[in-house]
Amino acid sequence: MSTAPILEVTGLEKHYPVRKGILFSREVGRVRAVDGIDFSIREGETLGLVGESGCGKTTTSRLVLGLEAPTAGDVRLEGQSWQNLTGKARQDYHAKVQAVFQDPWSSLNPRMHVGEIVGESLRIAKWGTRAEIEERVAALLVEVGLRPEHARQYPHEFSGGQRQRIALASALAIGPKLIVLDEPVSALDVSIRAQMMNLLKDVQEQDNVAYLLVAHDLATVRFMSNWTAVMYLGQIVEYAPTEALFENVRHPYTRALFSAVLPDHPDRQEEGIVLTGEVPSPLDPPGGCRFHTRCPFAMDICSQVVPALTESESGHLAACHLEE
Amino acid sequence: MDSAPVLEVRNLHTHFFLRRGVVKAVDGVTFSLKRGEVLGLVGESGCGKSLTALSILRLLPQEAARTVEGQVLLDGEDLLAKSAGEMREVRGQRIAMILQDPQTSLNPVFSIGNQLHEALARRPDERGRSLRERAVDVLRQVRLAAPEQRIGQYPHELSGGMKQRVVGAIAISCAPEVMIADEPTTALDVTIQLQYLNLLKELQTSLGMGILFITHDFGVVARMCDRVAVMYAGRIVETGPVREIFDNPVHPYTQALIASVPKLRDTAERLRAIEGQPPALSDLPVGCRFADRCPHAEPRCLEKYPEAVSVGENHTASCWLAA
Ligand SMILES: Nc1ncnc2c1ncn2[C@@H]1O[C@H](COP(=O)(O)OP(=O)(O)OP(=O)(O)O)[C@@H](O)[C@H]1O
Ligand SMILES: Nc1ncnc2c1ncn2[C@@H]1O[C@H](COP(=O)(O)OP(=O)(O)OP(=O)(O)O)[C@@H](O)[C@H]1O
Ligand code: SF4
Ligand code: SF4
Ligand SMILES: [Mg+2]
Ligand SMILES: [Mg+2]
Repeated sequence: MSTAPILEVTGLEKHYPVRKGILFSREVGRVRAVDGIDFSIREGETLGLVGESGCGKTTTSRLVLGLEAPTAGDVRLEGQSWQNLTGKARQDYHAKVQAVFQDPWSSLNPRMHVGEIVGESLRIAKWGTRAEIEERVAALLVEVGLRPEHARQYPHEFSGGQRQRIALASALAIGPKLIVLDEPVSALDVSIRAQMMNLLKDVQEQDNVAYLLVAHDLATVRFMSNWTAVMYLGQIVEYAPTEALFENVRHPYTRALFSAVLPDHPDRQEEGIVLTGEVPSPLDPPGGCRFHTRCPFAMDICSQVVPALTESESGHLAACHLEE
Repeated sequence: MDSAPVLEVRNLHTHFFLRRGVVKAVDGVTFSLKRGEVLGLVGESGCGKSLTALSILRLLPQEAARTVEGQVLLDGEDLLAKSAGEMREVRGQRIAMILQDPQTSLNPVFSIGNQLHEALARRPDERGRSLRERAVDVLRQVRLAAPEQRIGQYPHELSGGMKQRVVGAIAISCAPEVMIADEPTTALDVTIQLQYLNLLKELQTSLGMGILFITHDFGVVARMCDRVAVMYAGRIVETGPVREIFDNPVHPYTQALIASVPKLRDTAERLRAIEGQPPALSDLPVGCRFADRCPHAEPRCLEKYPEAVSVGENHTASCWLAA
């Protein structure tokens, strides 16, 4: 079923300089927010990106969206990297890669009515006549489970779940190839998360759009993604087809994430690896394997040598000395 | 486990009196918490969980909110009949609270040690130790690393997980009979969340506290709770032992809530979603409040509210199907 990747990310890095001093400010260090990652996403498929707070998920999203320039590496959509594009071509890139963010309260312009919000990208792209755009907006609202009349209302008249639907409709308007979903359901109430997740799947099937899904909930990732990448301190430590990963976790950090998932029944209290301590600072990440300060299996080599990503069964990569 | 209730809430009503009408945020809530028990209070956003907690502690957010009816019995004494001074004592010594955001519970201009001293000073030490020794001791109890150094630090110097540990330390410093934890881990990372839940469980067992644990996460319920109360639109619709709630939920809302959560072991193609939204608390229906989202609704559901009936041992539900 799968074709060539639509999005290819190679050697991607984003470092933020940390400066001290006001007049003669000098760089005293670098936050290695994203530190050399590779991944790809195929047409109509979903890659789930998981990891703890601060591991670089949102920075990765922003680099893919072209909102920030990478320190090194490349983001290519259909073979073209956005850094090399200018003018109209750059605009086309931005049209092909849309986003839905976590916070449904601040992501919609409160002064525009829903019809304007959803149709904005169409108007900018001079997609059609006013009537054509209105018709398309009505169809989009129906696609995301709202009603055409909602076009005349303002964001404050809607609940969080409805606002996420509006954000999705506006992301879909121009017919993007990829939508970056940064924690699209975590701000929603449990009772309406399921609606939104079902909707995202339906829309993907109907429009054949690819998703880069940032999430911290593994069950959500399993439900939504074809591929899963696990990040720790700016790097990918495990990368695999979702089913392969969920059946056979290879990296100790991924195992710890699984152990931290709360039980789905009071009689299933299994405790695997319970991590102690917190994530080290990305300003000065540990040498060797970045996880060695918290890893229960750490060996001498782990603090000295960076483990490479190695492949076990097809496409299942993990970076750990135990796996070499 | 001693089975006498330490905290009993009876027919509690807390309303907001606004110009546009009366918002019945808590509208007839009844439950009890036993000594040494963890009771989960679950339900979707806006159903009145936090306001129930604030009503118990008499910390309602503003003038417009008033508890208009009901009783809150702590060891049989009605807290709603106490003076403001007596309530301060209850809050400092007998009931402690942990909120979702540690930022709001800690004072940014005082050091960690200072804030602990204030809490500890309310209670004399039997062993005659200094405030500092006792502060280090409670920080050790909440497993904060290097407590001697932390005492001089300020909240902004700690991570979210560490701050929440400090809040926990302040909460247990008075050895409370009851702890109310309002979503204490939603702002924490998953691995830190598990550490914190384990800690609360340990403290609860060693101190014998009863905990009212407010959450909307059934994973937290499964990990922490002995019993569960499910709240919907201002009322408790089902209560029961945690296994009963997971295995034999009776109320259609409880059933739907549990079924809508994606499971780690599942490879489901679709999730079972609850369509629609809860009713406006300023315009509540006379009948069952879940009726317009309920797949089993019948005409009688719209006419009269289903009072709670027993559906098993220590298990009650408010639904006409169970009546
Ligand atoms: N503009 C910036 N300047 C300096 N540091 C930054 C900047 N943006 C992000 N960082 C740092 O980069 C690291 C990665 O941040 P990022 O927001 O990508 O994490 P995340 O994985 O999305 O976390 P979360 O789950 O909390 O959203 C963090 O340590 C963060 O503090
Ligand atoms: N200041 C206020 N004025 C009017 N209504 C309010 C106010 N504060 C809260 N409410 C109403 O009271 C109801 C109960 O609020 P409460 O904070 O107890 O909900 P909750 O169950 O804790 O929700 P969450 O899970 O989102 O924390 C809400 O539906 C809200 O509309
Ligand atoms: S390389 Fe070493 S420290 Fe890193 S995850 Fe593997 S065993 Fe643990
Ligand atoms: S009383 Fe009727 S509407 Fe309410 S939950 Fe029971 S069956 Fe559904
Ligand atoms: Mg983020
Ligand atoms: Mg609340």
